[in-house]
Amino acid sequence: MINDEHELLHPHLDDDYEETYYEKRIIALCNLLMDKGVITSGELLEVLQENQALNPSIGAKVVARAWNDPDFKQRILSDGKGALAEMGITLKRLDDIVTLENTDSVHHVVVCTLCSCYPIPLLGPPPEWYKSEVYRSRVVKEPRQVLREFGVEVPADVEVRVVDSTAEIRYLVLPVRPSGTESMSEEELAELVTRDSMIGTGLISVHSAATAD
Amino acid sequence: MAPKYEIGQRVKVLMQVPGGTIRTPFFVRGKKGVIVASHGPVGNPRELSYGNRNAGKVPLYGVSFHMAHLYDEDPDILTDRVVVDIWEDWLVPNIPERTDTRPIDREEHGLSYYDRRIAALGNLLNAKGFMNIDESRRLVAELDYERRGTEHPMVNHE
Repeated sequence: MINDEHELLHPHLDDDYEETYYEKRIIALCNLLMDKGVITSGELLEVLQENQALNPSIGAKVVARAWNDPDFKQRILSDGKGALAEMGITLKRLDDIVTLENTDSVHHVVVCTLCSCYPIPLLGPPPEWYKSEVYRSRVVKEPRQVLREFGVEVPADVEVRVVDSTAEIRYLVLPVRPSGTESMSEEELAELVTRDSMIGTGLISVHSAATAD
Repeated sequence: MAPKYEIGQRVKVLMQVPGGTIRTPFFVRGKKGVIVASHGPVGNPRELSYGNRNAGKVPLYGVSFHMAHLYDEDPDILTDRVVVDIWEDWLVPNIPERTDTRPIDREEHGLSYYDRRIAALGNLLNAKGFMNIDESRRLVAELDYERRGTEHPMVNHE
């Protein structure tokens, strides 16, 4: 994490750490743009913090609200952009984030077979495996086997629906609310929601709260 | 541009290989699916990739494909699907194929009327020396080749 301008300009690194070729290029480019007055370190810090602030806890709050508030759930299923705006979440250049509801009869899992499209405003940057060719090519062909490798066993009578993000629309999976959570508050529910459950490669159990990162 | 297709309509993705940045994955090109979502008009990525920001928007749809129709192997579970967002200019209506595989009795359906007209016309033009049988056969073969070729048109790379 880069928290202030001092850390931005003077990173806390081991004394014997040598930057890689690309790390050196990035530092040179930033310094050059700052020296020429194209950007300031304050602006750079602002963008970095904006990016660092995006993480799966935002999506988890959306899921918890959808579980807790049936009217909100209807709104997010029919108008993602509008419902997210209610929570102060803006999509910038994205056209929309569509919510896919997992039920007893259908399990959604999201991929971008062409590159790495991902609901960044809700989950932050995608994990490495999501961008890997292995995941992208296999999940559209043998989704049940891929899900099994993630520890998700989808019953034979449940349809697996793989959703490929090929356009400027991103997808959020609304996982099935686990039983035994009826009395939980929205904040407690949000603690249960994992990143993978919002991609479709994970399920939620009441015990997952202890292991959620 | 109003959307041309409705949810539930059967469509086929064009099998084409245009240049530029396109967002239609290869694994669904030439495949048949069903419209399951209508996202409204969205900027066309191919035009945008050429810097053409005034190209106008094209309706975008979520198209659902049965896994069983996408790959040669038989999947274990027949219910599974892939949903892919596809721009309207990549789609054509998919008219359901005849499930009855018995050959049509052309005589019974009155279709032999045209067969006979064609045969008569061919014979007459041949007799009058306007064409010969070999020429006619060559033209038929060319047409047949073109008909099969339209499934996979070559698009000019500008």
